[in-house]
Amino acid sequence: MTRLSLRPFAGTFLLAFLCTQATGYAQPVPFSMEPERSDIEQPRERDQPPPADIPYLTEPGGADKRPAEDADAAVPPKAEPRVVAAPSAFRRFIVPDAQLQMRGEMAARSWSVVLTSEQAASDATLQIAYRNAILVAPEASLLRLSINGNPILSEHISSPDRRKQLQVEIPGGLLNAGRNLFSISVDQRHRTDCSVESTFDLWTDIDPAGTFLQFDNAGASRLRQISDIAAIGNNGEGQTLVHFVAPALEQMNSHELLLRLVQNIALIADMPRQSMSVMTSPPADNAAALTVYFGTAEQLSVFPAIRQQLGGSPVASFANLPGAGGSALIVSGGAWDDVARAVDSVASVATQIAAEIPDDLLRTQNAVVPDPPLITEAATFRLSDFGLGSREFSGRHFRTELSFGLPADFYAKAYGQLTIMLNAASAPSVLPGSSINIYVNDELAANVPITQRGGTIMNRLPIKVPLRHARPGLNTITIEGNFETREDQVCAPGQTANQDLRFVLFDTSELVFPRFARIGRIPDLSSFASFGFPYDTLPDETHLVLGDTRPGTFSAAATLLSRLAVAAGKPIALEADVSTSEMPEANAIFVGNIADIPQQALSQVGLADVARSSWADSTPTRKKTLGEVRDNEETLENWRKKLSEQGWRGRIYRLLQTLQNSFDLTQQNLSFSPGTGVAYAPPVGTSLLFAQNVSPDRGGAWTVVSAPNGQDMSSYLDVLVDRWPGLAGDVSALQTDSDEIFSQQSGAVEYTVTQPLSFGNTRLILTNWVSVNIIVFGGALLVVVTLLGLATAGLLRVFGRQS
Amino acid sequence: MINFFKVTIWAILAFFYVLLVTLPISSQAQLSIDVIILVSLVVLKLLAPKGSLRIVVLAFGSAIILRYLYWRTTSTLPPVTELQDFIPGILVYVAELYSIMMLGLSMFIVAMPLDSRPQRRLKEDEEFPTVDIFIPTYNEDEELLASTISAAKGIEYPPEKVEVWLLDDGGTLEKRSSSDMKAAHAAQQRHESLKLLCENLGAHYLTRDKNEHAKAGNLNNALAHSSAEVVVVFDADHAPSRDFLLETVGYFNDDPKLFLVQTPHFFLNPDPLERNLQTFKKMPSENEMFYGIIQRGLDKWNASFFCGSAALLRRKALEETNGFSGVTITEDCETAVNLHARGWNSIYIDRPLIAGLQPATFSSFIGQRSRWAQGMMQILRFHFPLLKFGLSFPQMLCYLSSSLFWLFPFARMIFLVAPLCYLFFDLQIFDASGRDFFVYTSVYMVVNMLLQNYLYGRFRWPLISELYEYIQTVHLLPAVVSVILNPSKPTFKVTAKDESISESRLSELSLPFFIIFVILLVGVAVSLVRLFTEPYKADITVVVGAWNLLNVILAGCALGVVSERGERQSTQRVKVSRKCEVKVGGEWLPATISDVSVRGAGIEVLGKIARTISEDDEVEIRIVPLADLPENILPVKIRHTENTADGVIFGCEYVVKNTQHNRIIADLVFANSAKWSDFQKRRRTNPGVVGGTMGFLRIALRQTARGISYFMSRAGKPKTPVPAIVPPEESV
Repeated sequence: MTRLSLRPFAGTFLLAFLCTQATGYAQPVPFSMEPERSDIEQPRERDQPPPADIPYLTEPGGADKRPAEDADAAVPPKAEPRVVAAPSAFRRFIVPDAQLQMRGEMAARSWSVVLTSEQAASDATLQIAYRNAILVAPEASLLRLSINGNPILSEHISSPDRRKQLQVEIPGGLLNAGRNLFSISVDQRHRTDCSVESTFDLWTDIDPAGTFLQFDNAGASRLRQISDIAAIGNNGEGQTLVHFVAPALEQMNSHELLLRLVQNIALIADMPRQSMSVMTSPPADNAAALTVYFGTAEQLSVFPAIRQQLGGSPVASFANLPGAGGSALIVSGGAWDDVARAVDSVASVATQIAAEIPDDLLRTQNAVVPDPPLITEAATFRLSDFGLGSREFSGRHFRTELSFGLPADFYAKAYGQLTIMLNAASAPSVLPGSSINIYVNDELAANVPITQRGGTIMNRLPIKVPLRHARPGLNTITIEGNFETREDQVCAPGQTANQDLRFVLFDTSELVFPRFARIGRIPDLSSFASFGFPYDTLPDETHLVLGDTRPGTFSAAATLLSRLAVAAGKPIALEADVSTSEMPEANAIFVGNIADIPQQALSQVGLADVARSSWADSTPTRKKTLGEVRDNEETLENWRKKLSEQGWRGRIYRLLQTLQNSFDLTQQNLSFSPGTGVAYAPPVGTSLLFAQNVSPDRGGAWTVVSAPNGQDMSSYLDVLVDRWPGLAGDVSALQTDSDEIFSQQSGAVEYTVTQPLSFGNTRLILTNWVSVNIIVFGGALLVVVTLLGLATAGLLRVFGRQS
Repeated sequence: MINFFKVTIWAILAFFYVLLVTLPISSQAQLSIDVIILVSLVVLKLLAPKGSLRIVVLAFGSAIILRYLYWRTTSTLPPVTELQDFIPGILVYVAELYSIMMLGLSMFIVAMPLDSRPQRRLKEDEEFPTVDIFIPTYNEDEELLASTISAAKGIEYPPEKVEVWLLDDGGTLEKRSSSDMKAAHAAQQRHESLKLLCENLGAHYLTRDKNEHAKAGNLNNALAHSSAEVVVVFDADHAPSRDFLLETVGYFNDDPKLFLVQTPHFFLNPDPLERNLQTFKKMPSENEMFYGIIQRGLDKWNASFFCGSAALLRRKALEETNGFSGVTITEDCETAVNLHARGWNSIYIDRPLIAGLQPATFSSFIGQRSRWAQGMMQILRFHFPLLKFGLSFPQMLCYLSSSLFWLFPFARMIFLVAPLCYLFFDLQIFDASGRDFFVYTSVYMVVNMLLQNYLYGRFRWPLISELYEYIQTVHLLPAVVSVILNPSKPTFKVTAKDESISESRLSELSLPFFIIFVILLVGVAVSLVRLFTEPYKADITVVVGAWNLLNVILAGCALGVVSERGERQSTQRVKVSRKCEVKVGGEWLPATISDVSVRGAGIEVLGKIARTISEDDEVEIRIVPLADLPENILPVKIRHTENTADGVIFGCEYVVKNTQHNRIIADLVFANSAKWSDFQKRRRTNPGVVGGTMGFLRIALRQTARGISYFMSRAGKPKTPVPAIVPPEESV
């Protein structure tokens, strides 16, 4: 019955749809207003106009930005292959990044794309757009793509001057409902140059906006049950926009509930670059992947399109809302209690999904597959456990990456090291002076020179990798090999395409993590960012203090909390309706422009003077683009720098530098308790400021997230998405113009026990602490040694004969 | 109760100490700690504190060593999958472990050594226990025995309370009735002449039927034939001073459970190293570390042990164990460990009261050390100290240290070969970066040297221990291996100590040293080549090359040790000032004896008429003996003369025409033990780590050259010996 009654709406919103189409966002299909019903069998055919053009050729629409390349690609539209979507086609963008660049001689990336059962069942084609550096030799370079382990594309990389659009029919049955594994890998060789440096000039950009699944079945766009939110995907810029329409935003008692809903939806969608916006009414050009209508039936009745689904009983169901741009979810009820129950039903789905995820994994699969293991105790993994196979290599710059997670209370930065038991071999052609390097989070951590002529077999060769650059949350280890050969030195024509194997890395190589110290620290924005620590562990609710109730501020809080919820793997329990006048003593998060943050909070987190500084009223410039766009020149410089650290000169250089660093004790090492006193001043251009300290009751943390007065915080939080792991210390400043984070630890740290203080753990905690506070350690050692000496002398005077 | 409290406090501090020292801190933090501790250590060492602060210095040193040990154990062992690396890697590790353990044991022993005991002379009114003096002999010549017996007879003690026994194992019935007619005849002659000698000197001659259980059997035979309360043992070449008994016997009156009073062995002649490196007068002797400090350390723990000679033992104690133990070939230590285990006590007197000879040639030196090493291995095997019921825990550690010490040939050989594993075969036996090596290993080595110098500085100069160990290792290693494989096989061999070398020559045991030296030199060449051809692993090559270079320096220095200088057996002259008279032309002129040795003396004669004396003349000197001697005139032969304002100074050699002359010589030479202490004290200077090391390098360079020149001249002219250099005897 319902279905029939809603049918007329389809045509009404046609015009509106045409307008939104130009924005180039993912779901060009208007929605059914059917409530969530599991018994719906067949979506109806819809008549939709074709998209105006392929998205990346259209002019930017709305407030959203375009990827950087679009501007400089400057390719005449006519030269581009046209992707003409079928009238009812639905596009599901698959690249979860703003930019996907495959660099060097070998690069690979795997991630999963969640599809609904209808999408999986639909006929589909895959579109993929790329452009490469001119120095990539087409005959020796390949781009491969596989879905769920089935190769579906293998292409000689051959489009240096323009973006190349490829289209592949996807065989029926290849796609699954739920997770689908997409893997892109490249092998790239230089046209002319045989040096290791030259490999840094090799790149292929996969264009996220031109890379998508296209489903013939228009119904593929439709979400039917709450768990389908997991399939909302991202737009052509890798972003996942969710709008929350809450007409009664001003009402204090709704905040808590709304933010609970926000977090649960974020948990279900679990996309890497989610942006939550809260508003009182939907924008005309709604580009969101999902729009959530939130409020009592009475409040939501101002939207005629959904009025019919509102009633006295709790409702949490999808609406077919033509012109809304994406899916629409109604979470409502007659009274707030009913709304709360509706939110509960969403939360139960999130809880159910969370329960399916093992505790010992970090959830990254929508960005990177496989999910990295969360290392909480001594553990040994093989490379195959990270989804890496044995790999034979014929080029000069080998590179492979793997990820692992460390817990929020990871406390072994200063002393810890893991060991890689390397099983590998190099061919006789590889000359001494070649080397294998290990990077942790892109910082060089270990270097193994190949010193033998005539090939080497490395059988469980232990490589000690300091964890100095490791951090709570996601960490990346890069295993890199630079191989020099006589042939490369000669570099005859065609040498770069030489397929003679030089190196093999076996997947039986192991990563051996020792047991490391675990104790929670406050403040520590790093564990805050990666796990929502300490808010995820404390039994009490966290107070959320908003500077004001403007949608911008609220959106910022929503995006922040959604990130924290995803990081914590569960919603942060909030007491959100806190006015700035009644300050809590316990756990709290403060979000607002600097003038709106209570002075007491600023003092507590060491920003006492910031509100009065010139920064408070500055206007940070924003970079033109969202997200991570790496300049190739910059990348090249980066690599050259790394290269200069290798070889024997590099070893000696590093030795000297280590010695120098070791003698050059930093301020922090010398002081008994890390310094306080000097007022913090945000660097010029800071757009977003994070600061944390222990709460006044010392039972939790206070975290302040702020921006200059008059600035829209939510847009900055969206920019922060790709720099999120950079949050660290007790204060972090994001600069949107340079897209950098400056973090520092300047105040004292409180330790909170997260693991039993067993002897072993205490000893390791002490180890890390003294590795940082060397002078204290030295002093303690002197005292203990002297006392022991005297005590021993005392014993010697009691025992044995006396002179 | 207070002790319990102190132990508890100590245990708590020790816990924190170990906890702090074994924290797996970063290399960077380690470097800072290194600096802090090294600076503290050097400052403390320069202040050279005594008493409690001394232990603090040791605690500082141990901190670095423990830290190194922790790091070495947890971070540097090669993977077990690479067997070619792992096996040598583990061997080096075990060798290091052994060295650290030995250092730990010696720190325990010498942490607070007993000060030299105050003199405890027998008082007039005290009871004088009866004493039997045993002088076991096997093949020593009559002249030497005459000297020793004379000295023993000259000891101040009530004559009715002391008997001197010559225990001749060279003239036993078994020897005399040997099927080898020549040997039997020699034994018979020896038997008869020694019997006569004893008769003349007033000593007892004792021999037995069979040569069973070597020295222990000989001594036990004597025990059966004698009855005094206290038994004194002197090796045939150890002549006691006159005050020997008065200085020692009193302790037996003080402690009824005392079984042993041991005194140091003081040598009048240099060992081969001292002789060939010419360090005898400047540098403390090898055994001074043992008698100067280690025995004092052992004494603190009531673990000073019997060293075979120059000691007094209580008969009652010996009776408990049926005399001297003879299971091992070091009967002395074995006897002591057995009696300690039965609750008897020992003490050590830190004052030389005998003067003796030590092996002069390298081969007899090695022979002696082989016996010690093998005997100590047997002690480990048959009386493992940690399982020896009845010993106190400190005593266990003391004996453990003394016996385990002799495993050093293994460690030394491993340290010798290890760098070559890398240089020649590219084996990675030590997994550490150049940085870690710097931060841990080099600091450990410096601290080790500092500690050794702090503990033993006056008694042992830097790198000298290493040199002694190296020169013994080459030949001791097979000996130790054989005794480990076959613990009851070794038999007692008497060490020859009276050999002399008339011609400069290479020792018959020298060849391996030259071969090793050449191999190590090749190692140096390889490290240089690799440094230039493989610059990418320069850091490792530098470290290993430096290690090998240290081995080359030791090996080069050892070439000098095995290149024996042709010198007349020179015995040390001791300064004295004693009135005498010299008969010149029938007239007794007043004279002063300015120095004496066992072979001759320096005499200053007043009276111009004395200038008529010329070389090779025989004159008589007359002294006033300290002991009650029947005769007081000794004939001497003039060796050289020098005129003075009032007369002449001449050097002379004794001419022994009858046994009474031996007693006069003994009266002259062994009159005063204080002179020997003075001589030792003069050598006991501490050159410091830096000075000592530089000095060692100088010696090593010279000795390498000398060794090579000996080798060359032998290779060039196989039959012509290097002419003997006979330096004039110097007095000190």
